Amino acid sequence: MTLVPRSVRPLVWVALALAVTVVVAACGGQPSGNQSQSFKGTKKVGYSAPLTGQSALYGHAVSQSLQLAADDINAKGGVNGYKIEMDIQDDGTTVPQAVSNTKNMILQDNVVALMGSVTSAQCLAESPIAKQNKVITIDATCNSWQLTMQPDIVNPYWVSIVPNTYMEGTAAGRLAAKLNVGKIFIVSPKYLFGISETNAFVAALKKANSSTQIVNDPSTWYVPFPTNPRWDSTINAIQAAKPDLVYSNIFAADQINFIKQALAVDPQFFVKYPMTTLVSVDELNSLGSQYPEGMHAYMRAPFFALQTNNARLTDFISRYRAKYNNEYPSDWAVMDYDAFMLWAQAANAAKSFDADQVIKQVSGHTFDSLRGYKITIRSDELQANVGETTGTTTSSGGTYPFPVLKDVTNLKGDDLLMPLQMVNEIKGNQCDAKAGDPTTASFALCPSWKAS
Amino acid sequence: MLKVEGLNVRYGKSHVVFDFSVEVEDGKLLAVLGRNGAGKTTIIRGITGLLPGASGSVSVGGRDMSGWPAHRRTRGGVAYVPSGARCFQNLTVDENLEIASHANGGDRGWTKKRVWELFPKLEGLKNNMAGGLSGGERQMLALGRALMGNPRVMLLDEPTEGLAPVLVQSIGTLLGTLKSTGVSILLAEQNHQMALRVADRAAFIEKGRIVEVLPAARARDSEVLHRILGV
Amino acid sequence: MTPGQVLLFAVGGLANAAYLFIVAAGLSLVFGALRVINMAHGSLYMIAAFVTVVIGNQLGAGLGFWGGMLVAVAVAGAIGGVVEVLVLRRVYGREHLVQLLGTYAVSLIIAGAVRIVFGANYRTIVSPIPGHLDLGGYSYASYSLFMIAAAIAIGCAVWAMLYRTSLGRNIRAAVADPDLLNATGVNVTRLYTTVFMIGAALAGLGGSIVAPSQAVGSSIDTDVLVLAFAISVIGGLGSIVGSAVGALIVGMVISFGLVIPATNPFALAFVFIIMTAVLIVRPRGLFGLPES
Repeated sequence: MTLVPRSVRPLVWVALALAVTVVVAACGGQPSGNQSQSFKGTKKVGYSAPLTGQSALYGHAVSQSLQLAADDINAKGGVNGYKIEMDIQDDGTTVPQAVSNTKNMILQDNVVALMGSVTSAQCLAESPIAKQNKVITIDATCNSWQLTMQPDIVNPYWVSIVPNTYMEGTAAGRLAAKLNVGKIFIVSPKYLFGISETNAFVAALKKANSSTQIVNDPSTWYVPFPTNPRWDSTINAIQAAKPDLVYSNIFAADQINFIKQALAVDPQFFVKYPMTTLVSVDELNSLGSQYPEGMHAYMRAPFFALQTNNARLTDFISRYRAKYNNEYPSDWAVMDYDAFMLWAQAANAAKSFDADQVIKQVSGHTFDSLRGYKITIRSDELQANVGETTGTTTSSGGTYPFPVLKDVTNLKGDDLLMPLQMVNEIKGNQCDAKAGDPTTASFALCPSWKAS
Repeated sequence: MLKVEGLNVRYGKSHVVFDFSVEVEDGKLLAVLGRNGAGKTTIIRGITGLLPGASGSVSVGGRDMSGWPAHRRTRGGVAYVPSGARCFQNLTVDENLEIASHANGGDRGWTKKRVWELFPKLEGLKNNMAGGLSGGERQMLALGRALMGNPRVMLLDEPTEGLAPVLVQSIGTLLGTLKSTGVSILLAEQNHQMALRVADRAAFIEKGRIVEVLPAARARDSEVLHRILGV
Repeated sequence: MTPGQVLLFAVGGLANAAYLFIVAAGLSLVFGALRVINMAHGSLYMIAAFVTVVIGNQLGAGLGFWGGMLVAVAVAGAIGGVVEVLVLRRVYGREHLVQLLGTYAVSLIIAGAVRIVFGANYRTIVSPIPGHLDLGGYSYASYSLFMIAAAIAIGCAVWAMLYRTSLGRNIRAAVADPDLLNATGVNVTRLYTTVFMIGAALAGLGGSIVAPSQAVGSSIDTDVLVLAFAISVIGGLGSIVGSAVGALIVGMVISFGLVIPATNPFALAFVFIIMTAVLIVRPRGLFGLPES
C-alpha cells in the first residue's frame, strides 16, 4: 500500500462534498428580504447554533426567531444606523465547534454581539472568549447560575435573561414539594446544567419538605450527555425503585426518547411514576398527542400560558407562524427574540456597539418582553428577573397539535431570584467551590443558605 | 485454440510486455521460458484480462475476447492457475472447487467427482480450509479449481515452483493428459526440463519480448536456451 | 439487586445490545467484504428512519409501519447502490484514510439533504407492536423484545447468507483474493455492488426497526455511529459474531453500569476503555481477522 494516493480523484469528491455543505450552510444563514432603508453599513450579531446534534430542535427555533428579530429591527432603521445581519453557525451541539464558531464570529466576522448558545457546556467555553474580546453576550437559553456569578467564570459582558438554574431548580423544588410525596427518583444530564439545576432542586425541595426522601444514590442521578438514545437503564432503575415521583431535567431528544421508551414499557408509566420535569414547547410539539398528560411541568416561556392581555406576544406568534410554515414559537424562540431586542435597545441607547457602553445601558435597566411583563436586569450579576411557568400537562382540546398546561402558575422572577446576600457570598468565594471546577460549586454551602 | 496478437502491457508509464503474439492449437502446449522478471507472469495475466494496462487481441476458438473483463474470459473457457498455488485460503477445499464450477466455458464434463478421482488426496481434505494445505496439495487444488471451469485454454504460471521432484513429474504427466483432451495450454516455467518434456513448442522471453519460438525438440539444446536461462 | 432486578437490567442490556447490533451488522458486513469503513452507514440508517416515519404515518398506524419499512429498506439499498458505483469503486484498495474521507463526504451530503428534505424537527411514529409483558413486578416493552428477536434474526440471516449460500461463499472468496475470484469467473465488480447494497439495506432495516422507539431527527446518524464503531472495534470489524459479542458487552456495561452507584460515573467511559484495551492487546478485535 502506498502512502500517497496514485490519483486524487477521491479527493475531488471530498472537495465537492465540502463545497455542497458550505453552500448549503451559507444558504441557511442568508438574510431574507430586501431593505429599502439606507444604512451606514452592516453589522453582524453571532449565534453559535445547534442546528444539528442533540439540541438541533432548539437551534432551529432560535435561529428563526433571531432572524425575525433582526428583520424587525432593520425595518425600524437597524441599530445605530447599521443594518443587522445574523451570523448563525452550526455547532452540532458540541463544545469544540461552539468554541471555533465563537472565535470565527468574533475575529473574522467582527460580530458586535453574541446570543448565548443552547447548553451550558457550550456557554462555559464561549464566555471566556467573548470576555477576552469584549463582546457582549445576551443569553436566553443556557442558564447555569455559575455563568453569571462564580468568580472564576464571571464575564462582565454576559447578560442572562433566562431563569437560571437556581431560579428554575427552586421553582421545580417548590413544585415537587407541594405534591407532598415520599420517594423521589432523580434523572439528570451529567454536565454543568444538570448538576447545577439538580442541586438547586434538591436544596429547594429539602427546604420546603424535609420528609421527602430521594431514592436513588446521588452518583446515579446523572446520565451521560449527550447520551446513548436507549434509556433502558434509567427506565428500569425507576421500575426497580418504585418512586412516587420522578424529577427530571433531561431535555430535547433525550426527553423524547425517554418518554417514548418508558411508554413502550408501560402506557401507564407516568401514571405509576408521575414526573416533575423541565419541558419546552419543542418537546410537546415533537411528541404531540403522545406526550403524556399529567406531567408536572416547569417551562421557561410557553407562549400558550403567557398570552393573557399580551398583545405583543400575540402579534409575535402570528408573525412567526406566518413566516415559518405555521410553526408555533418555542420557549427558546420567545426568549431569544427578547434577547435580541434587549441588545438592540441597549445599543441604540448607548449610541455605540462598544461592550462597555452597551452594558451600562443593560445593567439595572428595564426592558419590554414578549413574556407579558417588563424585565429588569439586576446589576449585581446581570440576571433578569424572569419568571417560570409551572402546570400540569393536559390536552389542548384541539387548539394546538400538542398538549398544553392546566393549573398554570406563572411564578414571578422576583420570587425566584437568588437572594442578594448569597450572590455576594458566591461572588466573594465564600461558598465552598473548587477553583476551575464549576460543577463542585454548591450554593447550599453558602453561609446564608445554611443559616436559613 | 488460443490466439494472442500484439499483446502489450503497461504499468503506468513503464512498458513491460511488447507485441506478444502466439497461437496455441487445441491439444498443444506452448512453454513460455525466461528468467525471473522477464515478463512471463505479466504476459499470462495480460491474457486473463486482469491487467487494466494490457492491449492487443485475445481469441479462444475463434471467439474474440479482447476487451472482455477477466470473469467473462474465464466463463468463455480461459482458466488461470496463478503462481504460488494461490487458493481461497479461507474457503474449504470443497468450496474452492464449487466456486469455479459456476463458470462453465466448455463441455468437457469436469465435475468434483472427476477432480477427486484425479487427486484422491484432496477428497479426504475436502472440508479442510485451503489455507491449511501443504504446497503440493494446494497446487492440486489450484489445478482442480481451474479444471472445474471446463477450460478450453489453460494458463499456468510456474505450477511446479517449490514442489518435490515426484510432484513435478506427476504434474508433467497431468499436463500430457489434459493435452489429449484437446485443451490448449500456455505454460510459463522456470523448470525448462519439465516444460520442454511436455511442450510442443517453446517461446523464449527476454525483457518482455519474444526472442525466439522453437519446436520443443529443437529447443532443448538450443543456443537461446543456454543464453537466456544460463544452462 | 434482587434476581428480578438482575433480569430487568439484563433484558435492558439486551435491548440496548440489539439496537446497536442491528445498526452495526451492515457496517461489519461491508467492512468484512470490501475492507471499507463506511462512514455513511449512519446516514443510510437515518434516511431509512425518516422514510419509515413519513411513509408509515402516511399509511396509518399499525400496519403502516411495515409498509414504511419495506420502502425504507428499498430506498436505503438503492442509495447504497448509487454510492457504491459513484464513490466506493474509486477508493477500493486505497488506504483507509481516503476511504474514510470519501464515505465521510457522502455522509455530509446525505446529512445536508436530509435536513433540507425532512427539516430539523424530530419525527415520531407509534410502535407497531404496542403492549408490554409483566414479569415479577416489572414491565418489559413488547417492542424491545421484538428488537431483541429482530437482532437475533438479522444476525442469523447474515451468518447464513455468508456461510450457507453461494453469494456468501463468493463474498468470503473476495475477502481472500478478489483477483483470483475474478479469474475464477465471478464478476467481482458486481459482487461488490451487491454486498454494499445489502449492507445499505441492513442499515435501512436498522433505521426502520429503531424508528418507533426513538425521536427521529437529523442527527441520529452520528448518535449511533460512535457506539456502532465502538462495538465493531471491540468485536472485530468485519466479524458478525464479533459485532454481536461487542454489542452485548456494550449493552450490558451501559445497562448495569449506570444503575450501580460505584460504576455510574464511568459507565460510558468504560465502553471506550474496553475499546482501547482491545485495540492495545488485540488490534483486530476479539473476533476480527488480521488485514492481509
